[in-house]
Amino acid sequence: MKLSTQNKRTKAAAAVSLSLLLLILIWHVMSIRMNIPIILPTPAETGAALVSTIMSQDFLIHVGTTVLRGLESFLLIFLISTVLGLLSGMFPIVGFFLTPVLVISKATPVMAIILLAFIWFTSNTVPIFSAFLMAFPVMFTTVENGVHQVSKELVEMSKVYRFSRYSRLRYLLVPSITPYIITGAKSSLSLIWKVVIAAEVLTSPSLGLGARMHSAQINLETAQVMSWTVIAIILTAISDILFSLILRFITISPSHKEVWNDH
Amino acid sequence: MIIDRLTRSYIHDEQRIEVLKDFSLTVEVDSIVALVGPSGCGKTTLLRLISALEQKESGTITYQGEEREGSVSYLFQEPRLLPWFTLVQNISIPLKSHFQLKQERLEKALEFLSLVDLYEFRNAYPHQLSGGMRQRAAIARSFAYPSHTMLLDEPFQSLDADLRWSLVKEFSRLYDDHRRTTLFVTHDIQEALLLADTVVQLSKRPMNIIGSTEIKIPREQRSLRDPSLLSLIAPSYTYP
Repeated sequence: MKLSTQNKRTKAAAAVSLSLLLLILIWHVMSIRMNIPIILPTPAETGAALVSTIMSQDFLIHVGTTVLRGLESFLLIFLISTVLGLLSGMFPIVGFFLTPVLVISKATPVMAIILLAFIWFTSNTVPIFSAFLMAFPVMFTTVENGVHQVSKELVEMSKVYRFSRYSRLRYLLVPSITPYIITGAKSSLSLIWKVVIAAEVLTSPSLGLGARMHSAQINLETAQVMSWTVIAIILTAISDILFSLILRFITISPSHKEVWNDH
Repeated sequence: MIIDRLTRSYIHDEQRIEVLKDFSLTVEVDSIVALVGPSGCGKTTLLRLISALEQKESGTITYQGEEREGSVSYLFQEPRLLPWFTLVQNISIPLKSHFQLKQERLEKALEFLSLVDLYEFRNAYPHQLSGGMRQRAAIARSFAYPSHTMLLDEPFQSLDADLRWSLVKEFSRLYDDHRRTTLFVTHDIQEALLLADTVVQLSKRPMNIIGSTEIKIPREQRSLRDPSLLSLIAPSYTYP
């Protein structure tokens, strides 16, 4: 059984690598045939640009600024959505009250939010605000759903045995929804990176990954644009991997296994 | 415990279904009354009303003369243990409302885990145990909890035959040392004969008492091979 799982994993990894190689090959062939580096630089040229970008003096400042903006937004979302999601799961009236905000923020195009935010705020605040508005519903809905999934049988047990409000929260609700909080945090963070970078591109603050991307585009440094894109992808990948590790840790620890399997 | 003219109905497809209509029953203090009847007749509803999981429409439930929402231990069909906590935690957490000191709660939890032979599994999580062990832990929880009433809703039903009888025996042994007023819902007449002081037979909805048999044989001497025990329930009684 273990062997076959490992076999499957090896096969999957081989398929992914092959597909990645194929994409790079297509890219390479197209750029060679086109032969206009301003429009499509070769993978090698992009790689060289990536190395020089990473080696440049202010690389860490730009990436760091973007990461800080993302994390600031994430922290706000994490706290507010968890509290509101819990409340809404327990008291449906809270959910109804929030419905207009959720519908609007789900239906409004990202660009419209960024443009409006740019009218209201400074270019430093726009990425944080826009990311908050876009990713809040994702986390909120996941947490709310988690509350709905709490076992009715266990709730009854807690009522019969007179659990206090605190005990019900501490021993039943929080452990039940922890996997949902982590899943919600993971999806909202990957959305946050996209929106923060888009907002940086549109508002061009003095620092930030998106701002660099924008200035490279204006200067027709296509290889630079692509290398910043690769960095953005790596950023998202790192946060995804981190959350997957947390999730795996939780599902492996015996206390959560059963619940996780149940859902 | 005196249950007096208890009424409860549900609305289903715009139709009013009366599950309990003026249902009355007296349970002697510290005795076990088994409620035997067809499924869906309202036995579980009665337990849910007593435990305040559902609200009654009319009628009263009094304990030794006063009407109060008493502290109740409930043994469900499933163990209903918190999967994130160990056995000892599962038993000590409900004790929080009754014992201030953690040490006291732990001692009590361990005492009852020993009584159901689960002491060595005190730090195991529910999913690491078999179904029978989990139900035993639930039994330990219901006895450790300081209640004056115990409600059993077919707690042995989901187990296979051997395990079932050993659990019934275990419950009976524990009960004799830690008595409390008990209502035992079952549709297995044999379980009722082994555990109850009184077996009450019930009709279909709306639930009514159609017969009541007192069992005088001491619990520890009862056996399903004993014809005098089996003959207590009228041969005419056929359980659907």
